[in-house]
Amino acid sequence: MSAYLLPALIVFILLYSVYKKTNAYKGFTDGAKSSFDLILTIFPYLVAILMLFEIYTISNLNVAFSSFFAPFLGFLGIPKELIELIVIKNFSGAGGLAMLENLLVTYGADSYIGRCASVIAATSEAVFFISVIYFSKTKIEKYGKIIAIALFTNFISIIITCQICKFI
Amino acid sequence: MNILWTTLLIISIILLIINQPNSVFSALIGGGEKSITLALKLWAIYAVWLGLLKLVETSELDKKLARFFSPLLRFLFGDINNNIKNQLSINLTGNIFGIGNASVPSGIEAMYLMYKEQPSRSPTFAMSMLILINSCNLQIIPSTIIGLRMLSGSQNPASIIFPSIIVSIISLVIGITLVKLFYKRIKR
Repeated sequence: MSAYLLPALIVFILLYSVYKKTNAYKGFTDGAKSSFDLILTIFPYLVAILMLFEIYTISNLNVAFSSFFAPFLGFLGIPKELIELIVIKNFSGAGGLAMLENLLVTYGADSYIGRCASVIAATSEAVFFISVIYFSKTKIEKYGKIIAIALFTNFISIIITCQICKFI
Repeated sequence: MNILWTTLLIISIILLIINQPNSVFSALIGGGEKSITLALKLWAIYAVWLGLLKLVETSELDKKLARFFSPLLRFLFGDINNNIKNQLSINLTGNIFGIGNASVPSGIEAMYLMYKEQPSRSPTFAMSMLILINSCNLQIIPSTIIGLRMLSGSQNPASIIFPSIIVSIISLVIGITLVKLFYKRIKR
């Protein structure tokens, strides 16, 4: 069913603009034109966050990070196999999906790890990416508080996920 | 963000200098390369969606959406003007349908409109709420994840839908409560 959802939405948008007698072709090209400005606005922030992420992974700081927090997270019921996914996901959605695929292949999609990883990937977004990109058109700089709240919320949902997935 | 970014970057670079000094520069450039690849991919996605979303605007479908979402928007964001409401409803719709990339342009636009109305250095209540809603990834059918599970040979790829919805609802409730607690709503 989900395969039809998106195409149906697109057809609906097109049909509705025909029904409203608007120039769909002109509207589409006008809208597509603005993608140029948008991508120029967010590009510097993309570089900043992906460059940091790359060197963070290559320098093995992520491994140090994982093993440092493993006992604490284990105490909360979060398996250590998931730590890397949890960290990566906050920087980049695409990186998180690649990591999820890796976990699904290694441990099996229907295993406990596989189920937890799938739910985690489905229920939280890349907090750093979202904040940096969403504020990119403004001059707002001090948004540490909302990042902390979003990260904390995601963290609680991960703890809950690891409990719920024991039963499904 | 400034402190976090700079600190993590410096620690990573120092760690890499100790272990493999030759790869510091190439790692930085590698990150730059990846951002170009991602930017091109995003550009394609945004071009298509911004085109379609323009039709949503010109056919005034966004106003219909905004009317539908109005009670929810008032509960979440407080008093906001109609232009912002339209963008926020597109953003919410994108989130619910699981097309996160499509909701980014409208999210940025909504943020910009809020900022223009009330320029400041730190985000307001409504701005923070927008970030939180988008961090929680509320979606009815997580189609990308189900697709990945199918490809990895899952016997029951859709089994994660139910727990995902429960976890999303719980985290939204927690997140919304926290934002409401930590940010004062602007009364007009």
